[in-house]
Amino acid sequence: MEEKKQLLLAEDDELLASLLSYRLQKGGYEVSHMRDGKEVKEHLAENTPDIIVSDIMMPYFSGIELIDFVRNELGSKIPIIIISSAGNEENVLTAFELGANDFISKPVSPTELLVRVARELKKV
Amino acid sequence: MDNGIFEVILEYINIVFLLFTIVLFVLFTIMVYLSTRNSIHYRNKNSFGDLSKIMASPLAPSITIIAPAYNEEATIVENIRSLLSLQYVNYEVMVVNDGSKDDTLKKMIDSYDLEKIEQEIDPNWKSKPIRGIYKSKQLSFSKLTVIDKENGGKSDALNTGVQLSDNKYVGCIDVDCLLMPDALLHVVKSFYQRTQKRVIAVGGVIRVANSCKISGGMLEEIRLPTNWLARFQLLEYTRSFILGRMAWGRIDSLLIISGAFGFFDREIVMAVGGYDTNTVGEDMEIVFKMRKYMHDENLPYTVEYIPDPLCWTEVPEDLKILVNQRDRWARGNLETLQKHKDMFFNPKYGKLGLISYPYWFFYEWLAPLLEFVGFFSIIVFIYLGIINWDFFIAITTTIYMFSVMISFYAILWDVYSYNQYTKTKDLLTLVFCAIIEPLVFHPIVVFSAVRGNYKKLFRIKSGWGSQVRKGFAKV
Amino acid sequence: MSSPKIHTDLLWDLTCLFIGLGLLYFVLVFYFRNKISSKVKQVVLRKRELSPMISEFLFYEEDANKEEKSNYITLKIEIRELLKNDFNRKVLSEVLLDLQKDVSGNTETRLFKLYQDLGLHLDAYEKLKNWRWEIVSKGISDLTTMQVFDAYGFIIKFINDKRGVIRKQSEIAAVTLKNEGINYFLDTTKYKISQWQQLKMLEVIRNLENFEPPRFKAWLTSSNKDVVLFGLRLIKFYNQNDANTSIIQLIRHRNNNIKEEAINCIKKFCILEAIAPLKLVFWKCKTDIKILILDTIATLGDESDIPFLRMVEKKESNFVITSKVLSTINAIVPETILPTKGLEVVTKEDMVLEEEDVLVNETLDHKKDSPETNTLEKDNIEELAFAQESEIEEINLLEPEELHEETSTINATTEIDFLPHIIADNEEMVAIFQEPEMEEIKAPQAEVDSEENVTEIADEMSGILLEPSEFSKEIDTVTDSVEMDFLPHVIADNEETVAISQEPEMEETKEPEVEVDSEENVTEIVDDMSRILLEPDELSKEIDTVIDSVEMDFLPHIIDDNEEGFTIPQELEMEEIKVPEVKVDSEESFIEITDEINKVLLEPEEINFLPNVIEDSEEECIVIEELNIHTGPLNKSSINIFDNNFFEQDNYNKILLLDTLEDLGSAKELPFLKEIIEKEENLAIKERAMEILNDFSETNYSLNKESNVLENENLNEGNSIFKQLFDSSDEESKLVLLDQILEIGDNKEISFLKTLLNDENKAIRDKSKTVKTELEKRNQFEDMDNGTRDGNKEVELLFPLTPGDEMDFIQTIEYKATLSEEKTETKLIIDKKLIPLEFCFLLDKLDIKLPKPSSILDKDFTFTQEFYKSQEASYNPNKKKK
Repeated sequence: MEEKKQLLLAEDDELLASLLSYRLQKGGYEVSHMRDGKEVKEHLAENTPDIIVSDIMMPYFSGIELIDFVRNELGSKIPIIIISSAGNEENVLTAFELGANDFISKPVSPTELLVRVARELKKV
Repeated sequence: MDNGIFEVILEYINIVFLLFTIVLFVLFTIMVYLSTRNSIHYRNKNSFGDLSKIMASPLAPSITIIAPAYNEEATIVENIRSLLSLQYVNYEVMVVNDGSKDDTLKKMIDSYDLEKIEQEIDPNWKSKPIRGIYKSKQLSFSKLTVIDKENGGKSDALNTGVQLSDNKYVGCIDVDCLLMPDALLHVVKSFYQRTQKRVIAVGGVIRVANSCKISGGMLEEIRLPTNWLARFQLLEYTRSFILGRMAWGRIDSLLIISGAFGFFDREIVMAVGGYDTNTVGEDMEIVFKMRKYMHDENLPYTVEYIPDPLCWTEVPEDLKILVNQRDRWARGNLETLQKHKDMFFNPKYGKLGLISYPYWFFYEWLAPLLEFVGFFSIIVFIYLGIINWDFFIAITTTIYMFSVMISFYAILWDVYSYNQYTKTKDLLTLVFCAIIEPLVFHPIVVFSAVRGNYKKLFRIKSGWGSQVRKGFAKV
Repeated sequence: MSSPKIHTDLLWDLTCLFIGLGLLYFVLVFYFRNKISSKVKQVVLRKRELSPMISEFLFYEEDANKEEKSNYITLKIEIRELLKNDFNRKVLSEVLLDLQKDVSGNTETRLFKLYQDLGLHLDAYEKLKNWRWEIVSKGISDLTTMQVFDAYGFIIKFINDKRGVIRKQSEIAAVTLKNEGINYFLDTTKYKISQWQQLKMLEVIRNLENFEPPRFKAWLTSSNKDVVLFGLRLIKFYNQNDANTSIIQLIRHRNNNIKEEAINCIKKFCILEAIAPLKLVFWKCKTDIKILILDTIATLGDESDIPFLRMVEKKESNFVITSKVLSTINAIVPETILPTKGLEVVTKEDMVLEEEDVLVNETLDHKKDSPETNTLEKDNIEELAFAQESEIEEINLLEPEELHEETSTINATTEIDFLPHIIADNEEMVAIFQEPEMEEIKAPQAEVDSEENVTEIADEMSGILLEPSEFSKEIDTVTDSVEMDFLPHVIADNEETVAISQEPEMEETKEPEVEVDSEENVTEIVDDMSRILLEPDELSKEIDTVIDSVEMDFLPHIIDDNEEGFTIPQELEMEEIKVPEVKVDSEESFIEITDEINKVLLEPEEINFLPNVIEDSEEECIVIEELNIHTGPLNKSSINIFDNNFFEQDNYNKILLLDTLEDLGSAKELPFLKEIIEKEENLAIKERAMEILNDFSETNYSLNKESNVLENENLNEGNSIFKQLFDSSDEESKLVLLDQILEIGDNKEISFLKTLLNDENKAIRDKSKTVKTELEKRNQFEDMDNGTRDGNKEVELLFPLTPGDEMDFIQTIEYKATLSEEKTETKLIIDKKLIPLEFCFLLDKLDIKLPKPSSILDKDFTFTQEFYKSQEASYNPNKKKK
């Protein structure tokens, strides 16, 4: 059996997070769920996930900053998928500029997220 | 005999004073009642429904947010970014650089990749000359327009913005304000909700952002200000917005919309000729003017007020700046009342002339002066030994307790509606503020008001006064 | 002489009162703080507890293994237990309502199902009976958000409620819960409709699936001004151009909003006849309407409008209007007014002009035309440009002869954009938009022959399918230079829906006769397109004759609904292209179309196709978005399309396809899946296919087995399974059982019900009577249905159960199990189950008839019922273990 892919899910809305992580786990990923930017940062200091799925709006540390942190400070090329709220184009553009790989907008279809995650991982 | 008459006169002064106080109590009680009703109604009405779904609707109106900037180089870039990330599609952010002496314009040009564009301007429009209009070369900042003009004051800057905007609604805000992401949605809702009346303006609550944790243009943690002056102002704002304006909103007689967060129907603003550049109380004056215009034109209209915390701003923490600010408000108040004195008890203007205007006249303008005069007469009375101590102590205590009670009620209502300061320590601090406020903070306010009036009435030239921004704490 | 005495005691009393109140408030501050905080905490805790359960429910799949299944059932019981607590119910509905905002797609649908399965909608129904408006509104809003369609009947009663908030919520509910709700609303509403309300309602209908807008012109005569206004906005939004006369009338309306909207419609639909009336009303209008009118004249007007504009220029004092007039004049006759001031006048119109200048100049170089004709041509171009715009927006408006005239005045020198979209909807509607660039153009004759108006759908679809920005992005990628672009999109909504858009630029094109006949075959469009593409001999001959060949891009996008989107860009080089004769029919299967297209695409050498594999992620997003939009109802036959297209997809699309297949497919797909596993190189896809293969074969197997069990059982019992349960129940449970019979029963139950007609209890008698009639009705339907089928039950069973059915089923058995095993249990569950009965009362009281279950549902019932029984047998042992 192949080792499970590590997935970091950063989402402050607990409900949605638990739903998504459930679906992703079911889809065969090992999900670590972080509620805010601080936790993400701490987590990243010790772990290297295979892929990051992050909400764009989070307390302490926005998704944008997260991308910046991962790309510039960690210098890592881990694929990052951004979850954006509807209509927040500016942020999405900035996210792409900073090196996000993909985005999915709320309302999220968990199945679609799964597909996107799979696709990003395939590209690596 | 002489003495007797004098004593009778003194007694009558006391009675007048008592009556004034009782009227005040009654009015405040009515106000509390109205605001409570209105708050409950508002809560029930808006407890459901997802606003964000409509932000991209083809029917959603266009809005221009006009933010005048004067010497804001420290915070301008960050503030604009926050303005650009509101939850709405059809809006434009227009920053009017009012002839800043620092690098405000250069900072904007560099950060947002601006380039000068050409646009024809109505030669008849009487604002200070425009030096240039800038748009960003980058698509992601396409909502931003920067106007560089010669210094002409806040009103002049706002007028330029109103003139150059071609959207249905204009929002006049302070550039250093922090708007909640859903602010525009609430505003649009307020503008669009009415069926019978035209909504000509929408105002909102201003919340105190001092010491709050803000990053990336987002409010992350609400904290009680650490500065005492700011705490008093927080209490004052809570009282005025949660009780005062809510009550005025209930009877549709709201006369003031904060300059920090006010949205207007552009057509009406243009019709009344924009902001008055000769007053420092332009935010109050324009509402007077617009209301008057609608009355004159005999059109059904209303001014809406949103009690949800949508706009956060920093209040002065320095005593001198605070006094200057209040001084300015007092002058603005006086100027506005003066300019529209024909409305005083004028039944033609309905509630506006019969309730709102007199209220502003007596309780916003006259009361501080009376307090001031009263204070000195009491000192004189004490000196002359003719004071009725029984009465004096009784009425002072009553008024004092009443004002403390009102403050408590405001705190209570704030907790009940928004529950934003949850720590016991914070609440106790607020309560403590409420207890000492009449003794400590209120005299400062009265003093500033008197100074403002004195300056105005004796024509001592004074401008806007300056406020140095600390800039929101960065993480 | 003395003054009245002041009672200082009174003041002290007041002081005491204020102190008292102050203390009270002080206490209340902390009381409320604690109450709110603790409630928030509790809710958070409860949410944390409930949310994994919800995830479990939402993502439960039929193919779960035994352990999971039993786990699932325990969970079901657990949640039922939890739901007996009112607080839990509240939190749970809150959780579900919250989640609804954040999830979409399949999960959302399941969420709705779950909401109803857990009986939470009953709480919402309860709220409707409350006397407080905010609670009623909350109830309506809950039912709307969770799409409880049955609630429609209850809610529309409130549409003219005098309490504003209730009214507004029920209006939203009406349009959300039923596609025809908008008609009902517009017909019945007596109150004003606020702008906000219009906005929200448009948002709702925009997002309705399979919504077919009615002809909104019917409401332009309404006495309610807001209905008229809203009608106009909807007309504009759905591009219904059949109300032009009414619209022209409405520009005289006293209400400025209506006037404004009417002018907007005129501008959008290019109603040329409206110019004269517009000029008449101009003088009395307000500034912004004047500007709007000028804008419209700039778009639609011609030289005959210049005198009018000159007059406006002279008479108007308002700067904004005069400057607008000048730009309008310049838009109609370019460079009439030259910039005089130091400032450069840059308006949109000018920019357009400049671009066209460039174009003209280029062609001039090419064709060596005399400079004198230049200006004249520019004018022509402009007129044409306007004409084209109108064409794009409103094909029906287009007078072919007129365009013909205009075009023939051009001396083979200008380029014209021509962009055809062909979009067919499943209701046999087709519309064609074209924007080609050509040297010589003859009038495109669009013959639209369809029972209903076509344009509306066309625009709706183009609105949805091609987000303007995306579209322009696509165009941008194609039109980097002045080349000839040919860009057809074929977008199929479901089986019979086809949309084709093209943007050809041609040097010489003969009259494209696009005949769209709804009765004819859709396939022919593609067929004809392929003919264009497949006539290599002819084309190449022509191409050979060309020395300075002008490049022509041919880039059709074909996007099929069922998430198996595929994009095939191609490039063609040609100088001349023959007329595509396109005939469209929607009666015939879509598969043929795809086949055709595949055929076309599979022979690339012949015609020099250059299929680009889109690698840019942005573009992929577009495709994905389009795919997501098209998640309409799915059709069996379209599943076969999987086979045809699968191997042409890139990996991502393959996965998408497989996902869809998993959702829709049945054991029929087994051979195809095997084929994938054999041929596919990508490991992940292989695995995925394997997974699905296993799923399918398992279900297939288990279902077969279960149906056997079922038959045996039937032999043994031969009687209604309810009888036994019924005999051992008390009155309340009996009533509930009757509900169940109605839900899942079939013919066998009827005889049983007959016996109940003589029951001593009146309630049971009545209830069984209604149930019996309902059942009989349904069975008739079924019989008819079964008659048309081959009657093979196994085939029916092959269709996967929808999650909701599954839940119903588990609910049923769980219910039955508890019923027979424990009396106390039964009582508690019945308490909740009783509520439907109260509905019946409510129904009676309100005189509402519940919508009858559709025949589609009935089909489901046939097999699910049998499925239930078999499942019951296999599950009961499981339960006993617990």
